[in-house]
Amino acid sequence: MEWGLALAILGAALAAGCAGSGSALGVGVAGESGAGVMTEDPGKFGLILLLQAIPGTQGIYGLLTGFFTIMKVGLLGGSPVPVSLEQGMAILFACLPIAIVGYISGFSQGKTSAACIQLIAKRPEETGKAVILPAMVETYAVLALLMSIILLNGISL
Amino acid sequence: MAIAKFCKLDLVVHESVRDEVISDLQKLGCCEIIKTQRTEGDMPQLESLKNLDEKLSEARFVIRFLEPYYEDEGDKIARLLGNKPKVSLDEMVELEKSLDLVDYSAKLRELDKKLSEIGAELSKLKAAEEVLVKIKDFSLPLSLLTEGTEYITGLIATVPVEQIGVLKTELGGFLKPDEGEFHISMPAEKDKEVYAIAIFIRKKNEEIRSIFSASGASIIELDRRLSGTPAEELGKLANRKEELKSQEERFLEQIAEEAQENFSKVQLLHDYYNLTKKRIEALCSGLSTEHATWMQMWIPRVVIDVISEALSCYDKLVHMEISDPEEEEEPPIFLVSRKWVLPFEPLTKLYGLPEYDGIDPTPFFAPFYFLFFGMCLGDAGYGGIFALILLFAILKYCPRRDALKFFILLLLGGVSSVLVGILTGSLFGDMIDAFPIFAALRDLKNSVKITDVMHDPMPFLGFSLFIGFVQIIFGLFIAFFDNLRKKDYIGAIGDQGGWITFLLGLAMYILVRAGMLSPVFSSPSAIISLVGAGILIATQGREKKNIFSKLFSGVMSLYSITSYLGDVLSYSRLLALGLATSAIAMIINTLTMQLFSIPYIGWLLGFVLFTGGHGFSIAVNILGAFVHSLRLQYVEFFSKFYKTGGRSFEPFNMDARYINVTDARDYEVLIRAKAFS
Repeated sequence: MEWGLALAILGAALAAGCAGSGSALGVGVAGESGAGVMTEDPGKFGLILLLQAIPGTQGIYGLLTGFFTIMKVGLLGGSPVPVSLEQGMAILFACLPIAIVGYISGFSQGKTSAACIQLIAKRPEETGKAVILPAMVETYAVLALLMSIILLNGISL
Repeated sequence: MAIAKFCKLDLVVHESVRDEVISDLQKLGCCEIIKTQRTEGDMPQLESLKNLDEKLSEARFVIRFLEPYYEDEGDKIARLLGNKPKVSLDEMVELEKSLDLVDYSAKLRELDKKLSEIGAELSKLKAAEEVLVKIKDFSLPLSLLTEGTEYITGLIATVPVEQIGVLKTELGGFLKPDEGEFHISMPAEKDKEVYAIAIFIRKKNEEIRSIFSASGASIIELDRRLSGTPAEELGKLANRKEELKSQEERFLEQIAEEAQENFSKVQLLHDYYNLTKKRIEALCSGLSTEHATWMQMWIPRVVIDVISEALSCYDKLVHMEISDPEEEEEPPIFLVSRKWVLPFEPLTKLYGLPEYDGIDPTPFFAPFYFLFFGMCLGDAGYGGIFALILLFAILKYCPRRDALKFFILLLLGGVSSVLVGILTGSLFGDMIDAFPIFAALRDLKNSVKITDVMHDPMPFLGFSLFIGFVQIIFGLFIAFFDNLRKKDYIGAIGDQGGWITFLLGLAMYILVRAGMLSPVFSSPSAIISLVGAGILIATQGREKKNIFSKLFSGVMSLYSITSYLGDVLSYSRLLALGLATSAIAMIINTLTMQLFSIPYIGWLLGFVLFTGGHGFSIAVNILGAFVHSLRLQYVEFFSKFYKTGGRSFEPFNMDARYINVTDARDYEVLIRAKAFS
């Protein structure tokens, strides 16, 4: 296997791996908080699940970028495309925004979600606002995803 | 119409028709009672209020008690959405006469008490059983330990496992064979303690007890009723348990029957008492003399004639006086929207209601929200399925008020996604291109497609930023006209006018530089931006005192351009989320195609992945589309012009927790109908 292809795979792995870890941490923190609230009020399960799910999107964005990358280099269906060392490095760099931001924002969003779960425990009528606050954190994951995909699109093989 | 205009109604009612008038007002349900400050002492209805509160708390107890045993035949979801059983006031009065709630609740409390007694005894038995099982090898009657005989007594104790040896040697040394004996049960694997039994002559009692305590054992007082051998007692215990269990079962059956028969009746009574309580509280809010009661309430201006018509039958026994709200008073807020805006109302309420003299933002953001939801979800297949699910839910559950509005809002979001999906050629992602069986549809799909997000995202990004820019300028214009309306001309021209000119000029300039606008516009755009900047520099420091700090603040205000830039860029999420939907769908389709190539079971695996994958993708992307299009309204759009601070209209009406009262009119429908007639 050429170095170019290996670097592209590293990019895909980082995107899916780091962003996924961020989401795992985030969903975990939110879940812990949710379990605490449910000891008092199990009826809030639906709302809590919704809030717990919100930090899960970074993992999906990472996976998406990873898939996008391996489809680009032809590892998924079709025949592998020759990738030069420079192209491989470019693909690796293009994957970095979602890898880094996905990790950090996933975790931060999880903490916000956890706090918002506490919010709806005390004030169930404010659920709408509680869903918006974690979405503020997600903005940066969305922007990073956008950057990664635009960069990947720009690399011609 | 946007925010309903309110006026204040002063109502004086003669004592002879007081209850009827209050009841009529409650049925109309469109007045908000203004509470006057009162001390508790001079409330004549205090006694009946207390009485009602008592009944209400009994009702709550019965509902809480019977709820776990009640098997609901109706549809829980429908009820949750506001589709409650319909009951008339007469039926409620009838029921109130036939079912004495206080007696009934006393009966249930009795049952509850018996159940908890049984529960307590069962747990006691269980504790005794645990001990008995451990010492069942002991073959003498337990009465030797609990009471003893004239010369012999005994004791039972728990001993930590590591102390067994100590106890054995101590006791062995002290007790001579003709003075007594002891028995220590064998420890099981994880036991930390074992039971030790000793029988001895009575005069050694003191010493033996001290030996036991000295070796770390703790002596247990057995239940005095245990007299036979452990094996016999275990048998008795089992019998008693059986008996208690069957008793418990009988009670539970009885409760279940009660629940089936009376649960919904008690719910109804609960609501009846609650409505009565509201009525009495309304009466208490006013001031009463011996012959008349005076009350004040807020009413929407459009229903004045409805109320005066309803009260006309009382002739001179009722007097109405209507006045406009005073400067310092804060009337409640009720949004009256046209039909097409109605579904978006819950989103405004979610953020917070406007002030009474403010702006209702709902009609302004509704079209944008509709479009943004479509762009974020952006798939005809997903949107279609989502819309169908909601349509089904609306028809099946008939939700009411805000629940219905919210459902229609989501339904509209689905429709919008279908439209965007058709224009971007996205139906379950690239399903039509990915699977050979859809080959026939390709030309049709491509003929209506105007852009392809997956292969060339740039035009869509451009459109997202453009529509964002449009919304921000639109928000500034709203604030501009709002300031003009409030006669704050300097604010309108300085704050909004300056920015609008500056931003428009800059946008034109950027377009010219990017080659998208003819170079002819180059110098006009530069001039416009400079004029805008000039206005800003001139006005933004107007609160400062000396000329230098005025100038400095003016120039520094230009720095806010970064926040406008950030706002516009924030709309790039419209592309990103749309792209994410398409890409996830494409990946699912690609993987499905690969599974199809597995022999024999490939089609099944492929089918499972296709439905499961797209199902998951629909759920995740709808959540994203809802939240992110909402955020764009709240953070980017509302910040330009919208101020909250209003208090929601809380009418004195017949809204109840478990039922819908058929005699009552729906105030929302009533006010809206009047406002647009």
